[in-house]
Amino acid sequence: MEIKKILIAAPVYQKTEIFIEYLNSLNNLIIPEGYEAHKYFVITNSPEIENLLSSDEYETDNYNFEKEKEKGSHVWDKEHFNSVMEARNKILKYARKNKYDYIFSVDSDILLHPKTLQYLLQDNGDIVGVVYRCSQNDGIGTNYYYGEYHRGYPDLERLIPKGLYDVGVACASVLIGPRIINNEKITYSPIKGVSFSQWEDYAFNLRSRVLIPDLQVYMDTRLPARELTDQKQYNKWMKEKEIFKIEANND
Amino acid sequence: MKKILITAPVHQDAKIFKEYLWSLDRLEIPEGYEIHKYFYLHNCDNLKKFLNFDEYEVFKNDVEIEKNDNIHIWKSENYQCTAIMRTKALKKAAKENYDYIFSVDSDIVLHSKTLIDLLSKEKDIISKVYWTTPNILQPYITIPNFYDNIDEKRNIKFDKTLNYYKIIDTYCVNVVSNPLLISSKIFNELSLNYYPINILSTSYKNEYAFCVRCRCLFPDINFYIDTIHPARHLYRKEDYKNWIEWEKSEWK
Repeated sequence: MEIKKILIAAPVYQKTEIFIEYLNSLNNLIIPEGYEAHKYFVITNSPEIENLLSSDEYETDNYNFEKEKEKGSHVWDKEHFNSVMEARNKILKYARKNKYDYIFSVDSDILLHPKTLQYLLQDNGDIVGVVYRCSQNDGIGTNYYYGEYHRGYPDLERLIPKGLYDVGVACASVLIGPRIINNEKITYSPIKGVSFSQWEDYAFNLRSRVLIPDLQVYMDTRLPARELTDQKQYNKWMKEKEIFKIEANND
Repeated sequence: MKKILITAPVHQDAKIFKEYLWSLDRLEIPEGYEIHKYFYLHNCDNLKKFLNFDEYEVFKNDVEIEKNDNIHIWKSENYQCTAIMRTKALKKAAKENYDYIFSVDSDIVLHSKTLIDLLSKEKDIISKVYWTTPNILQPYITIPNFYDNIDEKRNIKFDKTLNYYKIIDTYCVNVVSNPLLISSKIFNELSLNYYPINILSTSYKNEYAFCVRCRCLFPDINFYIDTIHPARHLYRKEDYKNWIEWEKSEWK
């Protein structure tokens, strides 16, 4: 059987201590039989993080931001939108050039359950997201949109029972399938005339919808991930991570 | 010989439709081109008599448009119907090897030079401007048949002030609508259609769904609006009355 290739990738503009936890979580992922995984990061202004990786695992993307923002913060302005959008396009290009079958795009503050990839690959969608609770918006909100972006997060409660759900848009931590990788017109660039497409994930989902009419987009809520958006979340994680490991082994 | 398909979904009063056909018949056709008309008559069998048997097909259902003296109330069913008919026209043009579709709604009166203007620009997607008074109580406010954006409250948005477009020129804009000249490069793409995109609520509007799809399918393409020789929109009774009494005799 031919081995299928998975590219685990992200744009990285992150605090080193959080990246270390993130990298550990990726290294703990169980890779199902018949698959092989490689990591690839587009790293912005973070030489310390580059030192944690081997040279074929990243490319450097130094930006002269007019306004420096705190690493890992979720405050967005135009130039940071652009840097993330371009980084995600670079990852897509890299995957296409090196003939990957899947991209597992995991934002650099997301910690995954070790069995996540096994679940997502079985889900067999074009874009399959892993649910996590978002600590922005006072803990309300996840990385999916049932209908569309500007309607916010309708129907949030319906995803609480563990399962696999059809959604409109999935982002932040998603497994991207071969049909999308093979369609070179699909990118993260903004779409003229669609204001919400400045959110690169939305532009990506919208393009995929148009270019693959029977697109399958799911959220898998069976193994929720954690998001380390700030110091508080990080401290909490450092206290709880041993318990998490024991629990994960029992899942 | 290059072939142009002039087409529209039609749900119209006979007297306005007659003015519409009058302007189509006066269109100057550039050398090397031939035109064919084909209409989708939506619940208006009475218009058959103005057309040859090979110039229409009938589209029947129980959806009607509400009109009053001021505005036309378009419900989602109305948009669904026109999306189906407009998509049929795209597929017909592709199948029958047309070089262009010229999509002109049935309440538009065109200047006779319109086709010459649009073809001479050599664009894949180009529209001719017309201006409409959206509310009869505010006659000094007019909006054009293009825009740059539409928000979640369904308000259309422009990147520049509208006065900017009053100077005669060809402008690049984000969203264009009828009267629209579309090249075969565009409509030969099989996945192009006018149906709403399920994660974009504003794409209930046919032209918006069409433009967003084109952007995705043809990442390098731009949309243009040509503002010389504006068309006339016979939107309300008042417009028709003015047209018949004053404007028609002067119309070029």
